[in-house]
Amino acid sequence: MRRLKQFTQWMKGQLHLYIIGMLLLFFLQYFRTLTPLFVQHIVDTVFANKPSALPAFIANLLIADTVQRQLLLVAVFSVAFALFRLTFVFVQRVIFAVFTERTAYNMRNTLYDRLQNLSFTYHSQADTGDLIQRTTTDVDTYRRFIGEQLVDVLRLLFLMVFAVYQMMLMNPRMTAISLAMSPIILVSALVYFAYVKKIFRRVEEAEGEMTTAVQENVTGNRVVKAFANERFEMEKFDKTSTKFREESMRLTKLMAFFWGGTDLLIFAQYALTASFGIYFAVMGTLDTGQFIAFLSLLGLIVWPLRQLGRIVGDFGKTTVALDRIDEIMAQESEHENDTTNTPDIQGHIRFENVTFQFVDDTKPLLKNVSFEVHPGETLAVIGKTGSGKSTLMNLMVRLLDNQEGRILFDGCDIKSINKKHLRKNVGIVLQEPFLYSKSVYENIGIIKRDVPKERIVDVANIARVHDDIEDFEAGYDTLVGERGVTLSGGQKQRLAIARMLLDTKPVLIFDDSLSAVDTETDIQIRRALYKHWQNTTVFIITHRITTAMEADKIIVLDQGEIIAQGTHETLLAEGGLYAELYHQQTKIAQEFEAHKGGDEDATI
Amino acid sequence: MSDPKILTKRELNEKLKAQIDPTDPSQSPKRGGRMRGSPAVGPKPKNIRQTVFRLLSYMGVFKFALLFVALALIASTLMFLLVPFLFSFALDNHFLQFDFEGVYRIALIILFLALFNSMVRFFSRFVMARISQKVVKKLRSDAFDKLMKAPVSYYDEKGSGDIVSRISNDVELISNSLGQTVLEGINSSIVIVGAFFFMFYLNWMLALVVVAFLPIMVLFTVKISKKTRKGFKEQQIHLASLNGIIEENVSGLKTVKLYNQEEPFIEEFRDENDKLKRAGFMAQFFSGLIWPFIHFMNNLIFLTVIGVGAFLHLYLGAAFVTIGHIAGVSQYSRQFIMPISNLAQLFNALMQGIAGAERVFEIIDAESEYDADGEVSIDTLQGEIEFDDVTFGYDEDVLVLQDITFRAKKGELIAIVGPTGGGKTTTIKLLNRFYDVLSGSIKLDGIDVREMKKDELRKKIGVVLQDTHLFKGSVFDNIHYGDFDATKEEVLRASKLAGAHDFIVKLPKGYDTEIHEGGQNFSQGERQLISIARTILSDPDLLILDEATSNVDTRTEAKIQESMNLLMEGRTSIVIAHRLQTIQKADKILVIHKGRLIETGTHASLLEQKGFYHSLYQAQFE
Repeated sequence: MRRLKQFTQWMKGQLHLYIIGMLLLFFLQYFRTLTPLFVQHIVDTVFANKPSALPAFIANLLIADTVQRQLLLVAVFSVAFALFRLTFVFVQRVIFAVFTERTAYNMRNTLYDRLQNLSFTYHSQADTGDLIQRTTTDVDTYRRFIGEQLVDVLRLLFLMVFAVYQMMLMNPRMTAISLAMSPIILVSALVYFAYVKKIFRRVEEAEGEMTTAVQENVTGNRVVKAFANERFEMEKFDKTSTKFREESMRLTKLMAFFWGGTDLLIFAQYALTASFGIYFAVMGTLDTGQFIAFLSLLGLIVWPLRQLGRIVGDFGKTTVALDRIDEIMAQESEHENDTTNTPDIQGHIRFENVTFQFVDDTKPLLKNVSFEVHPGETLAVIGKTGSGKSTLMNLMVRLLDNQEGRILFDGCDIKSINKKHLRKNVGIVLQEPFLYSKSVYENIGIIKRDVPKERIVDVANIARVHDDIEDFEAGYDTLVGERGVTLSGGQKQRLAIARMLLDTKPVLIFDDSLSAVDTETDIQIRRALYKHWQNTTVFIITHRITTAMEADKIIVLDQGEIIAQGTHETLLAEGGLYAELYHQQTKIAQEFEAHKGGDEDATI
Repeated sequence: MSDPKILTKRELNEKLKAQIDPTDPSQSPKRGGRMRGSPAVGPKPKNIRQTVFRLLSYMGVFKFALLFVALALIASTLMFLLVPFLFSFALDNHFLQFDFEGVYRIALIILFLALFNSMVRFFSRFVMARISQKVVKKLRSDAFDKLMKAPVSYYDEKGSGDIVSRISNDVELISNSLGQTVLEGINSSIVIVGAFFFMFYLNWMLALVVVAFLPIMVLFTVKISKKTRKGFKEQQIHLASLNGIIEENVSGLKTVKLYNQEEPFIEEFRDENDKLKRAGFMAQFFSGLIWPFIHFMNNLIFLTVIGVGAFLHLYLGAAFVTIGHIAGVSQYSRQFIMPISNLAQLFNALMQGIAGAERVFEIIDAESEYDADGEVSIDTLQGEIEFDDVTFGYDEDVLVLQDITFRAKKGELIAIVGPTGGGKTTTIKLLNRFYDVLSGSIKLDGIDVREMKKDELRKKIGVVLQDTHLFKGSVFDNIHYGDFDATKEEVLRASKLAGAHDFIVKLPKGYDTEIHEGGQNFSQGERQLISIARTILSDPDLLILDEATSNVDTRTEAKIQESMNLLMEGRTSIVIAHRLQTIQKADKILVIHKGRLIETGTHASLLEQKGFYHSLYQAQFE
């Protein structure tokens, strides 16, 4: 019952189409089994004056006084009949095509909507490739199932049922003989297809290994050459390709045996039917036309049996796909039950004993964090990797929700503020900004899609990325992102800052977002930014002391807890982690290179 | 399209499904499926004749087996074609005369023929599959071997995606073509020719009736096939771009959420999804059309033959048209229609296979960098380096390095500094002959590197890069890569020297921990330590190092530096330097800017010059 609901839920609004299609399919199969009966009619009824196997409503139409006229009638009628069938097959195809494509379309839309609106927590734990597969491959599996496999199965079943029905009407004993081999063929098909799936998987795995070997050697060819290990790689590849060949051969053998073997069974069935048919004909219990019709109807049953086995073997895939899709649908959208409260945000932020922990984690990422920032102030958060800096930021835009304590924006708990509104008011520049496969223009203007180009050049200038962009072949029209030009970390970060500059927000967070920019440019950009965002509350999350030291207030985070807060001077005087980091980094700074944003891809 | 592996898997699946039985009429509705499986193919084959001959030469070893297959197939198909003829004969001569003994005899013959036919098919399919797999494996090995020998510039030129796709997808295309297209092609042609022959032999008047339908048949099937292919191609394209959109937005979801961009991106998705729906409909529609049409034509012809036959039988008499003729011709008319529509598709598959073969042959024909190899064998290198007026450009018109001249004595540390993109990396690529100089010369121990055997030279030069490439396999295997003759103890020793041992033993499976493709399950620092261990194991006489610049935490950074120092001891080393310590220690600093060596000297002497190095130093370190 659950399966049925799971299966039909995506067809909502179209189910009537599917049912109509199925009904058409049903009748069409009936008509298809009539075709051999026309031959029977000619041979037996027209020539020998014996009863026709055609249903009365058709046979009655074919009555005429002379044999010639009867033949003419049969000929004309059967052509008309074939045309009639073609038309309906056509209609039925259109109905199924419309139905399946619409269903898949709705499904993909629904899933994508859901994906976009799922919480960040969900996404941070999900695997991207897997999610993509669910929205495309799994949907396609279902689409094929309802559009092709299920239709095929039902078509074959209907066809067989009617074929047997027509046989029974003519001669029950002959029918039993004609079906003698069918169970064996069907069972062997079912067994074979269940088994061959395993072999398929092994072939796939072997192929995957081989492709990986090629891929690796192509991307790592410089290493292979540097160690002069070409010979070794050739042998390694030979092993994988031999394995692939062996697995494929095993599959081929299996297939050959199955198809060859069942071919024999089918021929045996034909032989059986033919011998008995002739015998009955001699005995006078079977008419010649009936005999011919039996042979034709037999073909409608025995050949498709094997296919049935294959399709049934594929059923499992569809339920797995549907289960995977349902897993996504079962997740709650983060906007579904969100408040509609949209208060004006000034930028006064207060953390009160905030604690956060992932459900399946043993240790909290943030513990009892309390601090306060006033509008227009700059707060620096410093700490090592894993100290909880980024979690702090994620909590402020409610990508994550804290379990204990409160985060207050102008005295209002952010959990009572609409998420979209909150995010509109809090700007974030990420450490590894994401660029879309669009032009530089579009990437900068992603928040405000209709901003004039001059404005974009403006902000690119402030973010010190204009010159870089001008160096690209197509300037601002250059395609970036996964399918375009690859930018260096520093260029990406500056581009992301430019994005932010298109808007003024009461709260801004820089999540280590100048880490790949050299110190000097870092300072230049920050100076420009402070001017641009005078009344904005700015959070600077960093591990670079030089970036933190100018802030109005500095928080030192270690393992999720605030271990010190104050200004650069007070913290330095206090000693502790801050002072330690300071000394460590100034020492490094003396000897460390400054052009961290170095763009040369040092690949030999 | 974004994930080549998923695609090949699906293609394989489709292919194997289609391979199940090309001649089985019950499979007919699956044709559409096979067309969907065929990958989007690039340009059409350029030189069909040459490629076909070359493929044939690959099959030459199996010529007797092939001949056997072809003959057996022809024989069995012809025999199978005899069945309706026998049927017709039985009907006229025995059945209607109530000579049932004769009927049984013929039934027995038919049974025997069917049996023989299916045996032959079974064997020929089997033998053909074996041959095609052997040929394909040979092709694949040849291509891969050549790939290993191809110069680095070949990889630059072609791009890794293209190369991988040639060796995996294109080779599969060939295997498809060989394995089934050929068999099916032979089969279909014989059926067509044979059916025609027997039809005319039985009764030319009835045969003409069948022939009259032919033009419409061919015209329609070809038209519909074309539309179907176009539909599936479009479907593929839209599916790929839809995948792209999802991939991009799922991986960039944080940004989407932070910028409240859910709605616009959902709109974008809807647009593309809509296109996919339309394309999908067209593809389904046309692919669904072809079989009902063929069935219809089949029935129409069948009935027409019977109708016309009956009339002729009645009006002209049994001398002109017998009942057996009607039965025979009507059965033949059913047999040759499917092969005709098959042939059009087979032709396409064949062309795809040939185009694939052409692309694979392109790899096999690539130049091997060992063809023009040096003669001089190298046992050990002292480590004296001489660059004399070295000029180089990846493209002859754009020079990357010009007139670089310097010397390094045995055991010296040479630091290369300069702004990014100035040619530092290129300089070291010339040393182990990934590329050869355009003019000038590079000598090691007084011998021009171009006169040395490449693989021996490279074995003696150790290279450690910022971003290292590790192979799929265990950590141990990856270190062992430096020298396959090394014992387990030697591997462990190298690992300890590199400072990698400590973190490796802390891994859940220690040295047996699997490294995923590209080493993504290790941090950049860890990868670098493993690669240093690998280089230590290879015990090079000369070292090339590229110091880390970013993304490594301070402690690992210090560790890497320590192991690099250890590695450099007693070896001539060329370092692309980013650290003050290295520069200060260097015996010689080369300042390379815009492809030219503009200053040379020690740290102190260069600072004194107050030239480019001085300003570079100030900008970077002060």
